[in-house]
Amino acid sequence: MNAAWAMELARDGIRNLRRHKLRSTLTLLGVVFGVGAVVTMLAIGEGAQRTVLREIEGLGLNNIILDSVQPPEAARDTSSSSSNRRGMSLFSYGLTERDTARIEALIPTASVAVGHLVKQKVFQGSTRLDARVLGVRPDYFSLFRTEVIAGHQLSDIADINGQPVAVLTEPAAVALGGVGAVMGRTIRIGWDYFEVIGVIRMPSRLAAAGVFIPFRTAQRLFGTTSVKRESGSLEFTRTEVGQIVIRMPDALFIEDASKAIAHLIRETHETSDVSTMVPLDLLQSKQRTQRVLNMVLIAIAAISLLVGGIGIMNIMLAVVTERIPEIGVRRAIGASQRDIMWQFLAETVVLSSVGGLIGVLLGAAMVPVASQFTGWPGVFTPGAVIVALVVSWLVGVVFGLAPAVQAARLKPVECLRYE
Amino acid sequence: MIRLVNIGKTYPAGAGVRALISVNLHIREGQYVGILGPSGSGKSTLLNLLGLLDVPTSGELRFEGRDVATLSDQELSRLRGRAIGFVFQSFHLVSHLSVSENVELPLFYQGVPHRERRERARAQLACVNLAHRLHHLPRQLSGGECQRTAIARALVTEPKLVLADEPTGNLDSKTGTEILALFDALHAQGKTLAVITHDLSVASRIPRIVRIADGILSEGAA
Ligand SMILES: Nc1ncnc2c1ncn2[C@@H]1O[C@H](COP(=O)(O)OP(=O)(O)O)[C@@H](O)[C@H]1O
Ligand SMILES: [Mg+2]
Repeated sequence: MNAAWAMELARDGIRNLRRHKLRSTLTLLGVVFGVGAVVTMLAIGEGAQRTVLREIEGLGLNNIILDSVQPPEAARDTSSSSSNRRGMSLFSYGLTERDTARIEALIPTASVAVGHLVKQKVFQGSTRLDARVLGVRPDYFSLFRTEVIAGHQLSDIADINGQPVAVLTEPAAVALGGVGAVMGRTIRIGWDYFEVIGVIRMPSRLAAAGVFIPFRTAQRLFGTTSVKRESGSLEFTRTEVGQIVIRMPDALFIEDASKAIAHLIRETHETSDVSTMVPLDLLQSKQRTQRVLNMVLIAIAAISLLVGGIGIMNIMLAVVTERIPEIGVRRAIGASQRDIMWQFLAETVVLSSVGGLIGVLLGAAMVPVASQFTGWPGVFTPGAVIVALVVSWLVGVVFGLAPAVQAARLKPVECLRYE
Repeated sequence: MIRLVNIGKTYPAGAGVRALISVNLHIREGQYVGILGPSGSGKSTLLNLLGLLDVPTSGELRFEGRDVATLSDQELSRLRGRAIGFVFQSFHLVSHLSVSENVELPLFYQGVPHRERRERARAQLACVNLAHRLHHLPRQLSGGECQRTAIARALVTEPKLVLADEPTGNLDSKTGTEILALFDALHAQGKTLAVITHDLSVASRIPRIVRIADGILSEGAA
C-alpha cells in the first residue's frame, strides 16, 4: 500500500461519510467530546501542576523551614506555663536560641536564618490586618523566590536594621486596599508605627498575608514576650525564635537533614510547638498526587473514548451490512479481502481523525471555561494535542478493525446474491 | 483456458442443495459458450465457479493450467481483476459512484494511477456509446445504459474471459439485441465468452451451447 493509494482510500472514505452527513456527524460527536475532554483536562492538569510546582519551588527546594506554633490549649496549662496568684501567667513555646545553636552544630554545612515573630496586631488607620509579623535579616529574602512589586525590599536599604519600616506581602497589601494604597503609608504594629516601604510577592505557603520588619527593630521594640489581657488576667507568652530556615548546600542532603532535625525537635520539645515544612517533600508528594490525578484523568478519557469508539464500531457494522452488494461487486472486479478491509478501515480512521481534530478545537475552546471553574490556568502543550490526535486515530483503527475484518470475510457470491 | 473436472457444488443450506453434480467442461481460449437451462438448474453456480468467485465442493478447476484450489485470496482476486470480466443480470453498479467511476473501479484495484484510470474508462465508455454519460449516476440511466456501463467496467481491464449471467434478462428485446451484438464483436476480437441465458433466440446465435438441468451438464443443443 503506497501513499497515493492511502490518499484515495481516505478521499473515498470522506465521500462516503459526506453522503450520510447526519449519521456521520452523530457518530463523530462521541469522539469529539471524548477528545475534547481529554484536551481540556490535560491543559488544566498541566496548568495546575505547573502552578503548584512553581509555588513549591519558590519555597526553595534546598530549604527546611521550621515555624513556632502555639500548641493546643490543653498542653499549655500543664506544661511550660507558670502561673502566679494575681492571675498572671507566663507561657513559653516554640523555637529557641538553643534550637538554632543545636541545628547549626548538627549540620555545620547548612546556613541558618532566623525570623523574629512579633505577636502583635496590625492596623492601618482603623482597619485591622490579619497578618503574621516577622522580623528578618536582609538575607532572608534570598532564601525564597520573592519579587518586589512596588517600592523596596528590606534588604535594599543598607542600614535598615533598627528602623521602623515594613514590607508587606501582596495579599496583605490587597487586604489594606491595594498596592497603591499602602505604599508609603504608615501602619501600626502593636503600639508602634511603621512606614510601608515595599510590597513583595512570595510563596503563599510561607506568608499568605505577611508583614516583614527588620530583625533588630523587632527585637528592640517587641522583645520575645508579649502580653495578652483577658478579663482581668494577664497572660504573657514568650517565643524566642519565630522561624528557622535551614538552607542545605544541595537538595541531596535534605532527606537526611530533615530527619535529623525532626529527631532533634522531638527530643527537645515536650509539646508540638514546632511545625516543619520541607518543600522537597511537598514537591514529591504533590508529584505523587499528580500522578494519581493523571491516572484518573486518563481513565476518564479512556472511558469517554471507549464510548466514542463503540459508537463508531456500531455504525460501521451497520454500514458494512448496508454495503454488502457493493462489497460483492468490488470483490468480483478484483478487490481482495485486504482491499476491502483497508477500504472500511480508512473510512473509520477518517471519521475518528476528523472527530479528533474537532475535539482538539473544542477542547481548546473549553479550556478558558474550565479555567474559570477550577481557578487553574490552562496550559496547552503540543504534546497533549499530538497525544489527542494519535489517540483518536488509534480509536479509529481499533474500533474499525472488527467491522472491516467482517466486511473482508464476506463471501463474494453471497454478497452478490444479497438484496 | 478453463477446465472443470468432476466438479460438484453443494450449498450447506438445510439438508444441502446439490447445485452442480460431477460437471466436466473445457472452455478453450477464444470460445463463445452459451449456458442454457431452466431457473434453479445451477447456471449461476457454474458461472461463479468459472469466475473464481466461489470454490467447488469437489473436483478440480484449472484456470490457465493452474489448480484454483491452490491459489490464495490475493492471487484469486488478482486473476478476477485482470483476466476476467463480469456482467450481471441486475448490472450491480455501485449506486453512489458515477458511470465513469464505476468503470474506473477495477483499475483502482490494479493500482493504476488516477489519471490513467479516467482516460481508460472514458475510452471504454466511448466504445459502448456512453461517452455522453460519464458523470451520471446509475439511477439516472436506462437499463440498457446501465448494462453497457457494466460491460464497459468488465472490459476496461482487457480481460481474456468475459462472463455474463443473463445479461439481457432485465432488458427489453431491442436493447438486449444491442448487448448481444456487443458480445458478438468481443467474440470476433478473440475474447473468450461464457454467457448464461434461458432465451432460446439468444442461444441460437451462440456457437457453442451447454445445457444444465438439475445440476447436470450436457453438451450441445438438444
Ligand atoms: N448460496 C446458496 N445457498 C443455498 N442454495 C443456493 C445458493 N445459491 C444457489 N442455491 C441453490 O442452488 C440451485 C442453483 O442455483 P443457481 O445456480 O442460482 O441457479 P440458476 O442460476 O440456474 O437459476 C438452486 O436450487 C438454488 O436455490
Ligand atoms: Mg441465476
